[in-house]
Amino acid sequence: MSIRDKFAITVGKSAHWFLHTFRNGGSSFPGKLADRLAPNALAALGKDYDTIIITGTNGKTLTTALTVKALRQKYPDILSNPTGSNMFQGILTVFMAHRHHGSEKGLAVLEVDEANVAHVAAQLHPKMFVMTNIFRDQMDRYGEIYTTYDKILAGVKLAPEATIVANGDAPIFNSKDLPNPKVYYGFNLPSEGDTRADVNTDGVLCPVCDHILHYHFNTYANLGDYFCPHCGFHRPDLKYTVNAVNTLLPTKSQFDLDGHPATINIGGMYNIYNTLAAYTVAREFGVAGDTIVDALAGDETVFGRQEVITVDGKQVTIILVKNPVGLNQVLTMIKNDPQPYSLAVLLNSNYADGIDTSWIWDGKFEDLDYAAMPAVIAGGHRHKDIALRLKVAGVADDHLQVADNVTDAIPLIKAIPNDRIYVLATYTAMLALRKALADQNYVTQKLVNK
Amino acid sequence: MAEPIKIAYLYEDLMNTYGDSGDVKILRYLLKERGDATTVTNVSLGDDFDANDYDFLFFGGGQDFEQTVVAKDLQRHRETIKDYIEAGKPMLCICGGYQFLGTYYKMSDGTVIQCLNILPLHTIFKADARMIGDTKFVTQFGPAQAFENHSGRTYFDDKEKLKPFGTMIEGYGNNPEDHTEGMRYKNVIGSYSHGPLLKNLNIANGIADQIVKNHQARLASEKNAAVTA
Repeated sequence: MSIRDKFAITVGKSAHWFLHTFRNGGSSFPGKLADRLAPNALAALGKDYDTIIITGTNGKTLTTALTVKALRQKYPDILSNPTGSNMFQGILTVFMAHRHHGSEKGLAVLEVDEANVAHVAAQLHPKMFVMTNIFRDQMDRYGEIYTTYDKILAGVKLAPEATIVANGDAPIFNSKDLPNPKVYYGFNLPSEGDTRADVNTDGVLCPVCDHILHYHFNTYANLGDYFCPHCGFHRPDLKYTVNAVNTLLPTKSQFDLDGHPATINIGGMYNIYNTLAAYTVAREFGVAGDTIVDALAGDETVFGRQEVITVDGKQVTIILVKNPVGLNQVLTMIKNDPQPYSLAVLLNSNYADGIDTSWIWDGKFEDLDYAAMPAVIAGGHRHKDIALRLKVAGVADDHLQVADNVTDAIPLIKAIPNDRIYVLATYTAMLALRKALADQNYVTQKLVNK
Repeated sequence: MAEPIKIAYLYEDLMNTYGDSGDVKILRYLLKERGDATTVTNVSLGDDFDANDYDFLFFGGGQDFEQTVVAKDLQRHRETIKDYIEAGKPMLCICGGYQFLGTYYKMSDGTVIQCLNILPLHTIFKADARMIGDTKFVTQFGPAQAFENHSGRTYFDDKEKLKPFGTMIEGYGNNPEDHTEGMRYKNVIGSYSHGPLLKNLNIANGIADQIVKNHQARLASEKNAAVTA
């Protein structure tokens, strides 16, 4: 480590200590500072670790949390980054805050924003890249799916020896010839014959011959056992698979994970994919299948981007929504809820939410039975947009309550005639709601997983 | 039993990127409120298509790769779409779908994509100067708000024949110079507005009126054809 790196890291660490001690948390500021003083500080800190980079549109956070949980069974010293710190400077901050133990290399399991993969990979020389999926996402910020994949590949090309662990059910991960060793995971379900993805799905063109891909089965969005009837292009061989899904409730999923009966206390097909990704990484790092399944199951509730707050006896489940594929998965999940529930959708359009709200029209709001819901609430800065969306989806005019902003939605949530409500919220709407409820002394059962 | 209104959604499975399916959802909702059932047909790669079988054509925007594939397949339908447009029937084209009505578009890397060559307009992409953000403009149906996100700059080659769809109050519209949004020719509207555009119910209702009129005309002419046959 050069003197310059040492100095920069010392300054960064001091800043982190100061912020952590006297302010609330460390933020990315110490990383920003150290990066400014020594542009190679991350490389200097990272040399004591083998690094796994987890990236993709949806599922980064939960996949990272589950991977850490699984790998802990064998590797005691694991560094990981909390959600919200998945860009370069945030990651540098995390490295400065972590104390490496022992003489052996530690493991760094990092959630990395798609556009930051190259910058991070250039300094950390990762052992493995994990790619969950690429869907259209806040297109005012990220651009189209092929652009996003190219950004990830810019990082992969810096580490041609690194193993790629990729979702084999996603056609885009089979579209480029790469020298890296590859391990694919995916679903191995009974064939449904010859189907096509829903019309409103992106990324369904064969990368070889430009014809529309077909599926033996299609799990969601453009994921599944795809094949091209025109040129024969097809899904690669899968090394680890989910072979059956037996229970799919909002708070519980049971499935066959590579031959092991597995249970996780969270709903959603997408979270089964996240579990499978974590399983795959841990197996590749030598953890036994049974051990992983036990570690992932536990009794403890695993939260993805959702949390439950009890408000005056009402169970309020807040779920972050940010793009159409994620939204559709959430809608599918709550549709499976056998108990009555109310629904609120809070839509903001600040930069962190995506300033373009048109994606709500790609969500399948039509799938829910609004007449059966005790209350339906539309709110946020863009309450007019979400109110129209819900009306078009089938909410009767006199059944829809509209709140001009997030704060005004709270009395409506408290006043629902039943005791459970799902609140789907964009990022800043979620933060505003969480803060307003905390200010009123309502306590979260558990925050986003760490 | 009244015959449903038939909507053709051109390349719905490929040209569906920016929430523009909302335009079709809103039209179906308004038509249903008026008592009209609707059907939507996805016209995709390799499909047969006769535009005059339909009461309304919708053509949305897609990702660059999908658009290059659609551009080739689309040429098969040039004559039927041209007939439909010239007959004064309603069509709404957003972003890529709008660009496709013109002669060509030139991508940032210089690649020229041949379009339908039905209307005298062309588009030049400038990747480093994307026009992105909220828009406000005034149309024949009144004021509107939307969202734009495009690097294509569209120019009319015959300003007598083509009229702007809107006059910009906020945002770019067709290009940074003209302060106009979209294009109007007979009952065809081309537009860069996402959001979707038809959340502006004044415009949606105006288009719904045209669709109902065209639907009735199509049924009447089919009836006449049956009688004379």
